Amino acid sequence: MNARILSAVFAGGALGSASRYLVILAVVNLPVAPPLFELVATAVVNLSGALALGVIHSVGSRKSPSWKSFWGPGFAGGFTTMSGLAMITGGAELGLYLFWIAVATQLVLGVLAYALGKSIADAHALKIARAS
Amino acid sequence: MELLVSFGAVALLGGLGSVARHFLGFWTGSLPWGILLANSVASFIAGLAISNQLFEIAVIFGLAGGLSTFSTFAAQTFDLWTAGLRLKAVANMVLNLVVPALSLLTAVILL
Repeated sequence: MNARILSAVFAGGALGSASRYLVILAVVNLPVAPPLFELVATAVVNLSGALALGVIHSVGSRKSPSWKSFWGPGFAGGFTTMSGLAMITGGAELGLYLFWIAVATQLVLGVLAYALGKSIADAHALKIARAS
Repeated sequence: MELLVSFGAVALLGGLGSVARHFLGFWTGSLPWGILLANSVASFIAGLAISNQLFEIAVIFGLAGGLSTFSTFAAQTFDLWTAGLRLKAVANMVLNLVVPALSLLTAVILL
């Protein structure tokens, strides 16, 4: 593994993590109380991040390894979070089984968001290829 | 100024966490074990940070957030599902739901 790839993952991860923190700070201002707040914040970053990774994986076949590393494991990986979900399910709200259901639903929706992002980007690429 | 320092710390530790996850991600087998491990270790770290309240923002949002990932989990689960390995896809979902939560709980109990 070369230094360029690692640098790209580091830079993308730094940008993704800072962007996630920015989104969380924005969601703090919404009129929702914890742990519902954590659920809304993680849903925003995780579902949009999974959708973005679908697009990145589709577009990535035509891009450089550094580009793929920056946006894939770097930005999308750093932007999304599983530990944030564990803080909801493994945190103080053990009795609230509804939060387990909500997190499980988010996992399923995340896979669907990834599939959606990938299929939209694939369809777009096909359309361009046919037009040219 | 304090907010700027928080952003810098989150970005720095998030970048380091992402590089660590990138290495762990190479461990695959019948399931994507590396990402499950990254998510579980990140949740354990988050549990320690909650308990200690030391560098909470940088560790939880930076290191743990950067080390763990939801998007790669989604991609790997999708790949398993579309490859016809549906039981493994469901197992990957259940493991990523339960193991990180138990890791966080373990950290909270230990401290």
